[in-house]
Amino acid sequence: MDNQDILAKKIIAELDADLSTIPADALQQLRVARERACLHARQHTHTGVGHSMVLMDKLRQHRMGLLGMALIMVLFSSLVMWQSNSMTDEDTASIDTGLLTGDLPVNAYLDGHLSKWVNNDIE
Amino acid sequence: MGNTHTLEQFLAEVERRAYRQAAFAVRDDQAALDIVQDAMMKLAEKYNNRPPAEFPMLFQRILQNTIRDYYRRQKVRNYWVTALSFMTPGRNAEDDEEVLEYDQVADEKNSPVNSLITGKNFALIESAIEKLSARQREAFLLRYWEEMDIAETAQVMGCSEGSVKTHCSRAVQALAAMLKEKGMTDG
Repeated sequence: MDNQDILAKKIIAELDADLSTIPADALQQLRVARERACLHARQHTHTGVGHSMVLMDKLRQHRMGLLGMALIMVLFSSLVMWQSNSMTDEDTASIDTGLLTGDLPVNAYLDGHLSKWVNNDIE
Repeated sequence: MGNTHTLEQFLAEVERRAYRQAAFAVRDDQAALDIVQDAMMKLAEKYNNRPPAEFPMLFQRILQNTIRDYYRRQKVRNYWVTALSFMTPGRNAEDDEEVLEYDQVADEKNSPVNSLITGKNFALIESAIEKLSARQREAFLLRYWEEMDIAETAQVMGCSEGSVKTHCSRAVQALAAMLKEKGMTDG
């Protein structure tokens, strides 16, 4: 330990010794501040735990409702998918029929002049 | 709950030193109490769930930042008081000096630190510590009173470890010189 450290320790010893002379009213205010801070910390902790528990309870109570909603959503999306698939099959079948019967000329269909042919046909 | 109990024990252990640190820095008993109260509240509110081993450093960081905030507010307040005093008719520099002198005397009389003095040594030490620069005082008190190592002190002060060593060394040298002048040290 060098001289600087020795002097520093002596000064700190004086400061420590003097802590016992802090007036009672200041100590009282420090105690109140400490208790208030700890109460705040306690409330903060309880509020956090409380929120998560309430959320879990609500989820448990509405479990059946949530399952039912999920089932309805799955059924609805399956219906939409099935309908869009069947529509595509139907369209393809009608195009095939048109091509085979000669109602839909292959070249007009392939070279992009279908709209022209349709207009001529209408006229 | 367990952590709150640990927090309470920790605060009970450090509150007096924190109060003295703040009083050395701001030289105003009520402001020092307010600063410690703010620091306690911030620690409890934001860091209660942190491991108790981190409390000392977190608390010191909060305390030092709260002291710096106080300085900033005082600086702004002094700026506006000075600016307004120039605009107020019927006052002159002599009046200002008298008021300032009166305030200083009143502050020193009301200072908690001064009213607590029981021995000559503490009065001299207190006066010497107050004369240090803010950074030197901060480094000295954190390093020797709070028993933080250099790395921890650097983290609290937001500077390099080299700066901490320099501040500490200069603080001790300045204290030694001031106390020697008052006949307190023989070295």
